Amino acid sequence: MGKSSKDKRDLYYRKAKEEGWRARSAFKLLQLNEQFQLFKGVRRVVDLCAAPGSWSQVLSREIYEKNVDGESEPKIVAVDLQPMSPIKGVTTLQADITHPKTLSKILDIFGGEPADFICSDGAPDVTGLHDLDEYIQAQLILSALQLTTCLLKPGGTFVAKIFRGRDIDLMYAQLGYLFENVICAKPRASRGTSLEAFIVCRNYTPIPGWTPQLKLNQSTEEFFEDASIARKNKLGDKLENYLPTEERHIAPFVACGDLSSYDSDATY
Amino acid sequence: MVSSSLVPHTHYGPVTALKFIPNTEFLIAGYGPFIKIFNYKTGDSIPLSKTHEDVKIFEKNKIHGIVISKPHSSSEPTNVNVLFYGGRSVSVLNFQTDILHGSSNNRLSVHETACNDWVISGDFHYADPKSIYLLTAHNIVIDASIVGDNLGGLQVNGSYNCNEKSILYSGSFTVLNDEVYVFSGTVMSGIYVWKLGRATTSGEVLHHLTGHEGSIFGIKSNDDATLAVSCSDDRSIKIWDLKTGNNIATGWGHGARIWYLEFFNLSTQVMSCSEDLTIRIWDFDIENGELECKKVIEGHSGKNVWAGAVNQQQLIGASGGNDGKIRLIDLDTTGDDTHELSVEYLTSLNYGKSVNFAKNETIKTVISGSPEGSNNDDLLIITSYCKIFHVSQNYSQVKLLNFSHELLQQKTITETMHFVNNFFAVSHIENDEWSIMVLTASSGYQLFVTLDGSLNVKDVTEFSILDLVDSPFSKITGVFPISKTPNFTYFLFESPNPNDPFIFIKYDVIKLQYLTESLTLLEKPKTRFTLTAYDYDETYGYLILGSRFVTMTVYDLHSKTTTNVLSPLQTWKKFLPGDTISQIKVVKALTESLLVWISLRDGTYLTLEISRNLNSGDQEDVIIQGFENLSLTNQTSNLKIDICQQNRVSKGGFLEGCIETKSSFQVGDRYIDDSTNILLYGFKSDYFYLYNETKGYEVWTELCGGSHRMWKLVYPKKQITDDLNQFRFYYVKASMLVIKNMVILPAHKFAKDLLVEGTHGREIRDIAISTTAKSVNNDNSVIYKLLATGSEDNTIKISKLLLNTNDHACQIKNYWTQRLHVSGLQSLKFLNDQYLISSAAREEFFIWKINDGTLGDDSKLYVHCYDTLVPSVAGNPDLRIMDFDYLPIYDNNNNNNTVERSLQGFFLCLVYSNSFIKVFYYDLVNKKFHLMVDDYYKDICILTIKFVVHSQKIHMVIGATDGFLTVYDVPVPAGLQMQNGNDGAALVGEYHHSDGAAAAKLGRPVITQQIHQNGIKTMCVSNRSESIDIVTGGDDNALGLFTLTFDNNGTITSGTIKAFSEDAASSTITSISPVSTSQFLVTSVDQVVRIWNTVDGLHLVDAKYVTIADTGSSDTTTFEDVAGNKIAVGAIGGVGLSVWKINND
Ligand SMILES: C[S@@+](CC[C@H](N)C(=O)[O-])C[C@H]1O[C@@H](n2cnc3c(N)ncnc32)[C@H](O)[C@@H]1O
Repeated sequence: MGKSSKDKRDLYYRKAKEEGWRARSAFKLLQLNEQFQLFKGVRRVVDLCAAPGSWSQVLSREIYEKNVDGESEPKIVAVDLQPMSPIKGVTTLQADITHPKTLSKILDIFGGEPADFICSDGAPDVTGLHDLDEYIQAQLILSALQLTTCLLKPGGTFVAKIFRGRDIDLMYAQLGYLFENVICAKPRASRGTSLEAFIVCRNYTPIPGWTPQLKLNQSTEEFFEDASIARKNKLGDKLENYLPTEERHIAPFVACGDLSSYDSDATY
Repeated sequence: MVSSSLVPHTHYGPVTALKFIPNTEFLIAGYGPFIKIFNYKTGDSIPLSKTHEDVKIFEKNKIHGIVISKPHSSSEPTNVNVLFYGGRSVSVLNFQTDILHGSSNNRLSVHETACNDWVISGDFHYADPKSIYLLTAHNIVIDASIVGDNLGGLQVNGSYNCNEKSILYSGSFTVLNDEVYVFSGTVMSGIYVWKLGRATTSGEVLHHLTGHEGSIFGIKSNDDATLAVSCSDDRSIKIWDLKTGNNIATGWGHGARIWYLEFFNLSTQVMSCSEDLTIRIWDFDIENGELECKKVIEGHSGKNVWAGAVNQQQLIGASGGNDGKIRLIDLDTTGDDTHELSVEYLTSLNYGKSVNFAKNETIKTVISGSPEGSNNDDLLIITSYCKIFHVSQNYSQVKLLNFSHELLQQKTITETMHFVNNFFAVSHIENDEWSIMVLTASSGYQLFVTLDGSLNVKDVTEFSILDLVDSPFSKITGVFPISKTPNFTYFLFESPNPNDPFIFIKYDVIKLQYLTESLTLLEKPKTRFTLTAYDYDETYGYLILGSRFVTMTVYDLHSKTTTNVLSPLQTWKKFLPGDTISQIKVVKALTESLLVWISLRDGTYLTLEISRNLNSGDQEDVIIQGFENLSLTNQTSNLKIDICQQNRVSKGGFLEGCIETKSSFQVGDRYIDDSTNILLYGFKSDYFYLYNETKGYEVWTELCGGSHRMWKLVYPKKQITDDLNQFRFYYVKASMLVIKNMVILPAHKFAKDLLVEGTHGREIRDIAISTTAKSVNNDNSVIYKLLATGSEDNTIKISKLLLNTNDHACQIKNYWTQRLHVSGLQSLKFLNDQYLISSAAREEFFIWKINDGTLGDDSKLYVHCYDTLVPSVAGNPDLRIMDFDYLPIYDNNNNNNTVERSLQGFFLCLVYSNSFIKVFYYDLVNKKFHLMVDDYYKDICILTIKFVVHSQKIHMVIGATDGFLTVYDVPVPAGLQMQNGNDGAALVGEYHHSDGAAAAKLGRPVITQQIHQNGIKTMCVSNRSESIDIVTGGDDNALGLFTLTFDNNGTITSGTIKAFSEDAASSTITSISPVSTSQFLVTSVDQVVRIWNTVDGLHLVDAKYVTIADTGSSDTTTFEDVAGNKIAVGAIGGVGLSVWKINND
């Protein structure tokens, strides 16, 4: 996610500099919030894959600093592989979110209390092998979902970056088992030429009869083994014949951000 | 309702896996979900399906690994099981029964089974080809077996783990008789080496290898699991001792991620393939703990080499790139055919007789026949003091030639210093039975030494060329022989004095004498002229000489009158930017012109057509500078030059020249022999290279120290086929003569070094197919249309989309790669079969002219940049032309006949990333852009534009990032009539643009309508008599059908969204191409290609998975076979290119 020279000429990039955001990504979260009022009533947040920290800055400003009534101290936890310089009201953790140990550390920080909102803007280093990149991206989302099932309060919201590649409809179907409402949203701050979009998953509904249990020596796949979320993950007695009929679903698409806001594809 | 169906036909794309089958001549290649099988020895591809379609192993997933079981018996090496894995898919097939003989139905994917997680690696049980181990991306090993065939799935026997379930990027197995070792390359925490326990679920970590930085991309052990080799994000290669777990050697060299590693040659060598496009061979010295890069092979283009394979027995390597190429490599680096001859060596072998050498005496030059034909491969070596040695073919015998010619001896001795410090030219004339060596002293004194078949001196004659010249002549510094027939050779002599003419004379090889009446003195051009390249054409008598600063001069020797002095017919000074002309070669004489190849040392190469300028007046030098104006002719020049091909070598460095070779290929059951390859040679830093420019790979390199050395490349003068072994490269290094026989194809190992040509190595952004079908063999058995692809790699490839009219097999064969763009391609459109228009990021806009068979009868395509549109805003590298469209304007001399009428120009509309909309009139004859409309939409990026023509009116439709479709009227200039031909709408009539006219504004749009939530990525227009349908595809996954209606005058009366399908795809829609007026082929990034019908709304007709990632472009066309059957074909591009048949039921 290094800044290419293209980014530097981008209006959002310049605007981010002016307004003191660490990355132009801030506008994506702001535009998503404009559309979906993500921060309403939210006091406890996990920001996954957060470095350099512009989403955390937004969360700090909107949740920590605007916390006037002060009934309880807001909690924002930001996690990334990369180190992050401190942000007011944000607890940072340098760790790999695909590792179960990281998830249990986050749970510890929250001390048994649920979170209201979990977001992830994570993206792996692109290898160029499209299917491998999509798999790793899906793993980041699955790890975030693992945390979600352990930490998010019922009714809570989950937002994550996706790339609308070939199996994204499978991912939508999986999310449909955990959330009442799944939307694919594209802020105008994301380039039209990029495949990047965000899933906005609202009203978390725990899977009936399934208690998520985080074990340190367990892979993400194993974690979800007994939760029926569309794809069959459990290793059975047989490797079944390939089923092209896996459940797929297309989430509704919403472009967000005002039409009068800047166009990230335009040359000004 | 007509409904079409999509049938996949051929696929060109990244090679994702490669594997040799031991003890056979087979190589299996995984192309995404497909396989191709090759006989590596013959270079043939084995047809697996009768209809020449690709054979699929998996429905969707790409094959990332291929493993071969041990054969049942050594007498049946093809009776092996093959394990394929990739993504979550696994399949075990018998090579002989399932693949070679069982796949004619093209349905091997019925055997595909699904794993519960991504499979990183797999292997067979030690003695059981029916049982396999799979390593998943969470570091779990699954043990499974086939029961019967695997049609019912694979039975799971158990699973193992080592308590470390972190995500893996790489991994491998080493299965020994009693142990199974697992090597796991993690994302964050190094490498785990573990072995499977006795009970399932258990695994014991033997080593945790840390030392690399970042994710591990490859880890593999040698056969007995004593050593392992690994690579990571840090680009190093590390070797580990598996007894101790110590890192015992580290090698650096690759400039990017490494994707393949393998030990070979008893673990003393390693082969690696990398994202930096190179394959490297490393020597591993276990004693000293050194890993040294021995050889670098640049075999691929674009980005990434994913796959590699080693044939351990034959020592052959194979590499497979993102560009689809498969390259074979001789891994045996010991048998290099190199000979180094020093002066000492020459004397030591001189029949035991010692030779007295002067101090500083070194080898100056070498004479040899071309390696082809001449039954003698002996050499003549000449030292700086003019000693001539005869060296036998196998370098075992050396003889100092002793001519009984006093004069030479004396001259040599008396003028020794003179020879050394100046120039001593040796020319060599070859005949079937004898050869002549010509030694020329700077004084003009010459010796013609006739040698017999064994290079023994037969005869020596002497001559002084300056005796023929009356006028004073300083001295001779260059002698250039031009051999055109076996009986005659021309000689050209050069002196350093600009006032001295060139001397040109014909030599009769049979009579051994100059034809003195042929002597011509050629006045040098007025500009400074140092001869650097030359050729002579007998048909027109043109002697073409090249010099530094891209200066060229032509003499017409047929115009010689009684005086023997000629001045240049024409000189061009600096006609292109660049420096020295390094090669001039007459390609062929056409009826009224000459085709000439020119290389410039800085890397540009071109083909010029030289003809008489009929309007010529007095001769005057033509000076042309800058690139924009490629017209090399002015009113007063005697000769007219048209550039018909121009390109830049992709390689960089110094370009010295080119060699053409021929190769053949097959389309279905027909064999075609018409493909010309251009091999370029030159120097890059310390290397001499031979590069196949047509196919885009390095054929051969030699670390010779650079171009300043004496060097010579010798190759057959006859037409060369793909059998490239007959090259020899000589150079002098450290006072040694190095003789390199280029063993490009070790014939005992393989017959072709490039098994598959492939395509772009990066995403294809646009595809265009020309309209007219042409025949390849003149018998219509194979017909083709031109297909152009523009890619993120900044190149345009011009190919032929070939169709065998017998079996309807389709193939894309690249003919030309154009490299003038310096940014990623955006759009491509054929204007007709002769002109192609392209635009790329950074406001690059080029019009290309393609000569396909119009220059002589060969099948070569000559492509050059005809004109470019100068960027509108200087210095804004971010301003992009997003899309363009054109409307052709024909003159009205020829009514409706679309073939005969001639194109005068076109209206061109362009949209920009800063919201500019421009319309130009382009005058094709005078090469001029006239700006007609200059306007803008609103502060956002416009993505797409189309001209829409209806009842004598022109409109323009644009789609932008705001999801709006906007329609403007464009006034029809007087004198032009609208016509709807087979190839779309056109204007006919006389159009004259008045130069003074200011650019107009568009005025208010006729219609603005939001259709999509955000960007309209693509549009396709369909003309019906009453109305016009515009199908739009958006970034919002949706497809819209917008219909424009008109009154009798062609005025738009309404624009209505007739239909809108909001989940037409699960990702961005990227291209729409017409199949008929009511059916459209639609591509989207979700890798599904769909056909939609627009009669009464939008109806999905067919949807098929397409294996090409980043699916972003398409075009469609229809062929007709001899029986009149229509064959509709679609080409789809992304990371690769795939060809589909569109069947109408
Ligand atoms: C697009 S950046 C996030 C930008 C951030 N939202 C902001 O506004 O500043 C993506 C981040 O994902 C992180 N990431 C990728 N894989 C990760 C993993 N496995 N665990 C934690 N972070 C990861 C990368 O280090 C990178 O900083």
